[in-house]
Amino acid sequence: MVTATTTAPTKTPHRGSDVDVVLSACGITKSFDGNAVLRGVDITLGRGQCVLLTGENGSGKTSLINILTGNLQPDQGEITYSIGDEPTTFTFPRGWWQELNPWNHFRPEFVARAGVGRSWQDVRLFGSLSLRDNLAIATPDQRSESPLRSLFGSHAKSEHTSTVLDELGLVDRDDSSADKISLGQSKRVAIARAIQAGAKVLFLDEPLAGLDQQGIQDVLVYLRRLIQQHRVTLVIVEHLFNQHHLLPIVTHRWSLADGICDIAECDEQTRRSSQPISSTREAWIEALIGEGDEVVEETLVRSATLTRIRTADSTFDAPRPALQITDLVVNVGARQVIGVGEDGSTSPLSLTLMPGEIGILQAPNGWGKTTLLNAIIGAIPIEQGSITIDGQQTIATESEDARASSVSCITASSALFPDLTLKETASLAGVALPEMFRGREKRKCSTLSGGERQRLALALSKSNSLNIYDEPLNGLDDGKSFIETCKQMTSQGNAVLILVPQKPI
Amino acid sequence: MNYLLHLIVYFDIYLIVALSLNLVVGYAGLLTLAHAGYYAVGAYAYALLSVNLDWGFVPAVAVGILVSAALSLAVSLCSWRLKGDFFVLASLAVQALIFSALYNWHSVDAPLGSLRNLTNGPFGIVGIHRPSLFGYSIVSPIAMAAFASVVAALCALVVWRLSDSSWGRVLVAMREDELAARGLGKNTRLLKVQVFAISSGLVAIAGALYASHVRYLDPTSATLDESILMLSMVVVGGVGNFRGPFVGAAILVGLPELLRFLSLPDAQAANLRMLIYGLMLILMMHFRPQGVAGEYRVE
Amino acid sequence: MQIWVNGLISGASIALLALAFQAVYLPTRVFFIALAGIYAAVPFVALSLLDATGTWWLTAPVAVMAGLSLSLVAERAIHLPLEKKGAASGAQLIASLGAYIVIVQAVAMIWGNDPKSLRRGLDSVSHLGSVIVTGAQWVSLIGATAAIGAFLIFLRRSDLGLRLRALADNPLQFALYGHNVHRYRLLSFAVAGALASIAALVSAYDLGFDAHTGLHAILLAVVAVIIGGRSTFIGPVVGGLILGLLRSQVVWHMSARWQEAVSFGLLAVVLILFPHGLLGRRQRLEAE
Repeated sequence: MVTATTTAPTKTPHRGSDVDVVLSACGITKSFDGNAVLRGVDITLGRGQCVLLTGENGSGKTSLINILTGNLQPDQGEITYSIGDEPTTFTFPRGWWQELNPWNHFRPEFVARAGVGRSWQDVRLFGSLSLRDNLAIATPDQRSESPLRSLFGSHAKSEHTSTVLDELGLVDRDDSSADKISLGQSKRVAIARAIQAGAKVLFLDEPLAGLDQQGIQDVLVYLRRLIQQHRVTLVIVEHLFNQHHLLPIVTHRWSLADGICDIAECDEQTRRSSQPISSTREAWIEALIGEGDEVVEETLVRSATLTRIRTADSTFDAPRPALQITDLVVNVGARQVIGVGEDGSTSPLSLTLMPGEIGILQAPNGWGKTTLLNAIIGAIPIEQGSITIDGQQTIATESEDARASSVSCITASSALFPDLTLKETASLAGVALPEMFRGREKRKCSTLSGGERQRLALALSKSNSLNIYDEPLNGLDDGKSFIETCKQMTSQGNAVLILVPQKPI
Repeated sequence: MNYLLHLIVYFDIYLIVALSLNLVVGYAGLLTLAHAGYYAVGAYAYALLSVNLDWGFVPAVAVGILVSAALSLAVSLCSWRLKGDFFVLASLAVQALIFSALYNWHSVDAPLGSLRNLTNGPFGIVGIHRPSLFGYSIVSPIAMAAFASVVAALCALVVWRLSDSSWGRVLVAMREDELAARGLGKNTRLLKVQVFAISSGLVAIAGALYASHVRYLDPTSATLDESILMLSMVVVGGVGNFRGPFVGAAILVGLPELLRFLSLPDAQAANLRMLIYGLMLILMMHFRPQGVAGEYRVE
Repeated sequence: MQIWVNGLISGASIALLALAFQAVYLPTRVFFIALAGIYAAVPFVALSLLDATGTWWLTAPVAVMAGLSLSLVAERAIHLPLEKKGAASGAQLIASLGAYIVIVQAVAMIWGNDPKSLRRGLDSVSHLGSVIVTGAQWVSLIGATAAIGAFLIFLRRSDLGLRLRALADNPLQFALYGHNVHRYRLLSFAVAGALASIAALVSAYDLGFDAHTGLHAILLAVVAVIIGGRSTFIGPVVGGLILGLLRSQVVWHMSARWQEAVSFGLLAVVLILFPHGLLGRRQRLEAE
């Protein structure tokens, strides 16, 4: 019942050595809609550690970060923050009466004041404020933040932010608004902002995602400086593709799989063994390549690659390409996502897929795969250029009929219809319910596991002129049925576009 | 001439309303429809204290500000949990509650201002005193216009100081991305309580100015229509900056004057005016969501 | 017993309007306040028709059609264009508020601001044991229950109903399966317009009406939606019945003037204890 117990600071021995623990959590569970994401995570974080948190997409990395930073309540478990002098413990589940006590809330602002900061994958600077204000605002408990002081006090806005901006190499840009700088710069500003807010433990959600080489180097230099000069403890989630950049600074590795977290120390041995290995094509891609198929590798902007498999059924003199993307630029909010070059300049994306071709787009997280997908299916408006599917131009949210007759698409988080039964879902798709789901017609889609849902989505997809799959191998035990489906589609003269996150090269 | 002075007083009242509402809607990004309720609370506080206790303008308004600010908790606590549309609805509910309190808190056999007949219900309060400062009553239209302008200028100064301060900056940060602001340790719940209290306190001043100028008050000044009018003033003028409310208040004062040329019967003219406000809201959302002079789009 | 019956009857009409609101909100996420304008306008249309034709058999269907068309116009002229521009939900809400004002003021300019009644002469009264039910109450109860039942069966049993639920559940997936989202949006607005018109007619027949009744009614309906749970179609019905029963108890034990205070008090309690409503399901939220 007691949740915010305050005890004398203790040093918990960990794995034989004396580690000054700043954060510990045990037995953390969390499930969404009956799907367990975390099934009892135990972690301890020592001062000065630099942790790499790894796991497949959908393994609950973001949920764990959200929980440890107070953005999400776990279902069960216990979390202790002991960064300052007085450790604070939260026990879950919490009763509703605990919400009534204003000094004992498990909420992000309380956790932030305990010295835990975070950065978001999508950066989240305050777009309409200048860079200087973005940093100045983070300074904890400014006395002038009370409205009375604002009214009668002098308006001296904090000036020491200029040194921070100097460290970031942005000293001349302090008046520019936050949505007008490059992604790499904004990522560094976001980290600096969390430090400015007094964070001693910092959770970074994909700090390198979407950055070019220079941007990655700049962020790494900054992270090193944080570790050495500010003695900050770091927990970093980073996609496989970029992980090798981080290995020199990483001391521990948390691997999340099946809802359990495994902690390992990183020594020279593991560091060396995780060095990037030379490129070999993945097994499932090899399996897709049939006899006599021609394989073409293309490099796209910002280290994405497009592998084209031209089957015997591919037709290149077809009057209409299955998918033609010309000079495409897509924005999400104020930021350009598709059509950005290496250095942040505009370089529109063009791509053509002929009937009977399989295109495998491998791109790092943050590259804009999902944005591209949404643009192709017309879910978001495009800024510039055109997308033509089977000869018909798509215009966002206007031509559902035309589009649907020529595209089928399975998204990574294919939730289908959580509230509808399997039978109803099948009837919406216009396909008979596949054999393996017989007997479960009356169950709702939300009761299926992620893998089952993916399998159902695959089984319900019809073969169209263009078939798009976003991370199709994610929840599947083996890719066999998927590969069969793809081959069948190309043999009918249809095109397949597969979007997958990039593996280390 | 007197008519022009009368318009100036109205402009001043609308300006205070728009400035205060803009703090909440524009800077904090919280769409509220309860503002007319707090306006009426200020007006009733002034009316009762001046009619029953002969209080001067300053002390009566001070009480009005305090009551209004305290009652603003009803909205700010809702904003803790509710977001977007459902917060708008909750503010509408608060509005309905304040209106029904003002409308129902009366009884025919008790004197006005007593515990059983606080507001005189639908019959309203007549003979409200003109504003008096240090014993001098402000009677002439020109003095009233000057007085209202000074009050409006003071309120504008307060809003300007606040929106230009680091407090205002945190407010904007909360509007832009509340989760990110909380991740930096900002207590956005406290912030919401503060901004609603300040905004409600300011609009109470506008209410008192209105009551002392018109000298009659009934619950119709707390209807939802009034709240919508206030919101349309802010939305049309432009949210999230300092000059939007000036534009909005000017349009609101100017429009009925233009309609005068149509020489419609009174009841029809009132309906037509509201209809045009409604039309303006729709057109604004279609063609200029940030308002005539605004920067930030309504979300 | 009488109080319970009265509560049930008023609850049924609140539930009907709540369902109408939800019929738009769930599939389209538009907070359709203009429904209040439709609710206010339909009885006036019916009144004029009744004066002209003298028969309910013609009046009722035409009045419902009028409400339905008004709803379709609101979608085509206001909400769909905004949706195409990617407008935020606040913009939709303000525009809908604007539409409400336009409709109500137009109604007031045409028919005047005075209260009116759809009923001619005295009402018949029937006794069920100790319980007295007036003819108008019968109309109200039967009309509202029939409309609610018909809509819920439509949702569960028909193909169109299934598609409406699918659109509410996952619009993107729905579009990907080849269904025209805009067409089904139109359907949801049509259903909402028709349900709101029926709700307006039965309550106008029972209690009378004026140009400004709509907003209060829709306010109660949305309170019912929140209490019942905003993520299902059943929630509003349950919420409406609870609200109706509670309000009649308040009239009996306290006074009619406390109805609002108690209704919104219940709203506050539900929001604190069950933020997703009594029947709502918890969603995967980023925070809070």
